[in-house]
Amino acid sequence: MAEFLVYNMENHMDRMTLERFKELSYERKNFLAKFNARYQRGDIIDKRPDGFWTDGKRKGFGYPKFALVCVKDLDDKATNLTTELRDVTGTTLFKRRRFRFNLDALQFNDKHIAVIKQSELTEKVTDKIMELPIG
Amino acid sequence: MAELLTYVDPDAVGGGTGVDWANAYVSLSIMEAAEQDDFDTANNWLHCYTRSSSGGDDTTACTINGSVTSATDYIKIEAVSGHRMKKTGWDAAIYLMDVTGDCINVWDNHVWIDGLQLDATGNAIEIANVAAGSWCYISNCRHSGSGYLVQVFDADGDAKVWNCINNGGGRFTYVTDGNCDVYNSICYGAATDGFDYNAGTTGEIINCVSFKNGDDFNIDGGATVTIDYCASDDGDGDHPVAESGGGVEWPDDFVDAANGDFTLKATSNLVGAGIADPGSGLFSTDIDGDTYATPPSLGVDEIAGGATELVVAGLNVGLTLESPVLSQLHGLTVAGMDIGLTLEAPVLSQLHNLSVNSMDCGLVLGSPTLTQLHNLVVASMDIALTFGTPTLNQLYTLAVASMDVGLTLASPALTQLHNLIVASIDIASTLGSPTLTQLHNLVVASVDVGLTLGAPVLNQLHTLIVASMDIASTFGEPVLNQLYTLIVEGMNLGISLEAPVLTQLHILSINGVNIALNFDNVLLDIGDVTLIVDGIDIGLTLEELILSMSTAQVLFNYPGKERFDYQGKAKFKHSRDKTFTKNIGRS
Repeated sequence: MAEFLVYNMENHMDRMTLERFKELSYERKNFLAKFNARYQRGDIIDKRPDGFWTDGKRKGFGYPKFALVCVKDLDDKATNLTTELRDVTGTTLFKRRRFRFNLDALQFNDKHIAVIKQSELTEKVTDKIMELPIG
Repeated sequence: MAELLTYVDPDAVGGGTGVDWANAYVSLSIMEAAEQDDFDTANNWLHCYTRSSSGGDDTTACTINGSVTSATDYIKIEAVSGHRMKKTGWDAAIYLMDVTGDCINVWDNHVWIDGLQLDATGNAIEIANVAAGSWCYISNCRHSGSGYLVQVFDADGDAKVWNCINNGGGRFTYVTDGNCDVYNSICYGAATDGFDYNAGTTGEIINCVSFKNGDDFNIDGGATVTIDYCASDDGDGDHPVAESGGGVEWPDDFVDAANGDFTLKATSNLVGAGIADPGSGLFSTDIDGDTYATPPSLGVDEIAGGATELVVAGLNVGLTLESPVLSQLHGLTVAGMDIGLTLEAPVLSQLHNLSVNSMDCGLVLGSPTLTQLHNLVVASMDIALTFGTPTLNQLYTLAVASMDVGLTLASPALTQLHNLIVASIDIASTLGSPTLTQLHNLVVASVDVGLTLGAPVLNQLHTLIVASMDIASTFGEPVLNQLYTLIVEGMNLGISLEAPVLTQLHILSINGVNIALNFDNVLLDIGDVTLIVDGIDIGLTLEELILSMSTAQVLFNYPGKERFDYQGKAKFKHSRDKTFTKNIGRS
C-alpha cells in the first residue's frame, strides 16, 4: 500500500479575476505555462510508504487542504506511474502530474481517508488533459 | 504588507496544517503546495520556518512555482534559530534537504532561502522560468552534495548569494544564463570548477574564498563577471588576497577546512581583507549574525564584534592589562615594545590568538582567564616568558622561539595543549610540573642551554624531539607512557632521562650528540622497538637498562673504535638481545 497526499482545494489561480489573469499574462513571462501547471483538486502532492499518515503517530495530513488516498497492494511500478510527471504543453521545463485522482468517485471515511485497491486505480484516476486558460 | 507564518518539520506528528510547530508540514514541498497564493494582490509575504525536531531529513524535491510574488510580497524559507547551517561543519541533527536530483527549483519570481543545509546530486537550488525584474536571495546556506549549490538557468534569473558554503565536491555556481552575484562565500573541494559562468552570463564575486577546487573560477571569455577581493589558490581577480600559508587546506586561515570547519582564524590574512558592503546594502552580518567589520573579512565569518583585533606596538614602556573585560577579543598582538606585557587577571574569554613579538623584556601571564585561547606565540624577546597559573585549558599550540632567556612554566593547567614548540632560546626553559595530559608533540631545538622537565604528566606525548642544543636537557621522572618516537640529535652535551616510564616507546633515534646520553633505570618492556644510536662522539650510558622485549632490534653504527662506553648493568632476557651484547662488545 502507498499513501497519496492529494490536493483538495481550489487553486488561487482559478479564483483569479479575468482582469488579473490578463494583467499577469501580459506582464509576466511564463505565466500561462505556470497557470497550466497549477495544482488542481485531485493532484498528487506527495506519496509516502504505508502507514506514514495512518499508523496513528500523526494526527493529520493537512485536511481540508489535502485529502489522503491509500492504495492497497500497489506495486512499485504502479506507484511510480501514478506520480509520473508530464511536460506542460509548449515547454519542457514546466511539468505537472500526469494523473489525478477523481476525488468525487472515492469514498472517504470520517477521517477524510479513502482506501482503494490497485485494481480500482484505473477508474479512480484520470490521465489529465490540458485545461484551457480561463476567460 | 502582512507576514504569513508557516512551519515545516519532517518529524512533526501533528495535524499537518502548517499553522505552528506542533502541526508543521512534513516537507517543504507540501508547504509550497498548500500555501500558494497571489501574495502580490493580497499584499502579504510568506515566511516559512524549517527545523527537524528529531533529526529527520526532508527528502522530497520542492518546486516553488505556483505563487504570484513581488519585490515586497515574496516567499522566504528560513531555518529557525538552532537549526541553521553552521560554519563549523555539517550537522545531521538539524534540518537538511537531502534529495536525489534537485532540492529546490525556484520558478517564482521573488524567493529568499536562508540558513538551510542542502545535499543534492543535481542542483541544490535552481532558478528558472522567472520573469524580468525577479530575484532570488540565497543566504547562509550550505551545500554538501555532488551537484551545484546554485544554478541560474534563465536569462531573466538574478541570484544574490551571500554567506554560503559549498564543500561537497560539486560546483558553487553553474550559471548558464542570467546573472549571479556572490558575496562573502566559500567554495572548497569542487571536483571540477568552483564558480562556473557560461558565455553571455553576468555577475560579481566579491569577498569570497575559493580553494582546493579543480579550477577555482571558470569564467567563459564571453561572460561578464567581476572577481574582486577574493582569495584563491590561483590568486584570481582584482585585489587578490593571499592565503596565510600552512598547506593546501589553508590551516592558517580556517580552523579545519578538510572537515568542513570554516571558522576564520583571527590571525588569518583574510581578516579585514575585503571591501565594505559588497552587496550595496543587501546584508551586513556574517553567518553568526555578527556585524561585518569595515573592511570586512573574506568568507562567511567575521571576527566577532568587528573590532576584535587589539594591536599594541611601538611603545617604550609597555602594556598592562589588569582586569579588563574583553570578552569578544579574538586576537591580541603585542610587538616592538621595550619593556613588556603584563596580563594580570583580565577576562579574555574569547581570545583565540595571542601573539607577542620583538619585545625587550617579556610576557608575564599572572592568572588571566583565557579559556578559549588556542594559539600562543611568543617570539624574539630578550628576556623571558613567565606563566603563573593562567587558565589555558583550550590552548592547543604554544610556540616560544628566538628568546634570549627562556620559558618558565610553573604549574599552569594546559590540559588541551597538543603542540609545544621551544626553539632558539639562549639560556633555558623550565617546565615545573604543568598538567600537559594532552600534549602530543614536544619539540625543543636550537636552545643553547637546555630544557628542564621536572615531573610533568605527559601521558599522551607521542613525539619528543630534542635537537641542536649546546648543553643539556634533563627529564626528571616524567610519565611518558604513550611516547612513540624519541629523537635526539645534534646536541653538544646530551639528554638525561632519569627514571622515565616509556612503555610505548617504539622508535628511539640518537644521532650526532657530542658528549653523552644517559639512560638511568629505563624500562623498555614492549615489542618491536628500534633503537638507533649513531655518530655519538663520547658515549652512551645505559644503566639498569632492561630490554625485556622479544623482537627488539638494536642497531649501533660507530665508524671508529673506542667511541662507545658501556657501563653495563644491562640485562638481556631473550636470545635476540644477544645481538645487542655482541655490539656492545665492540667498545
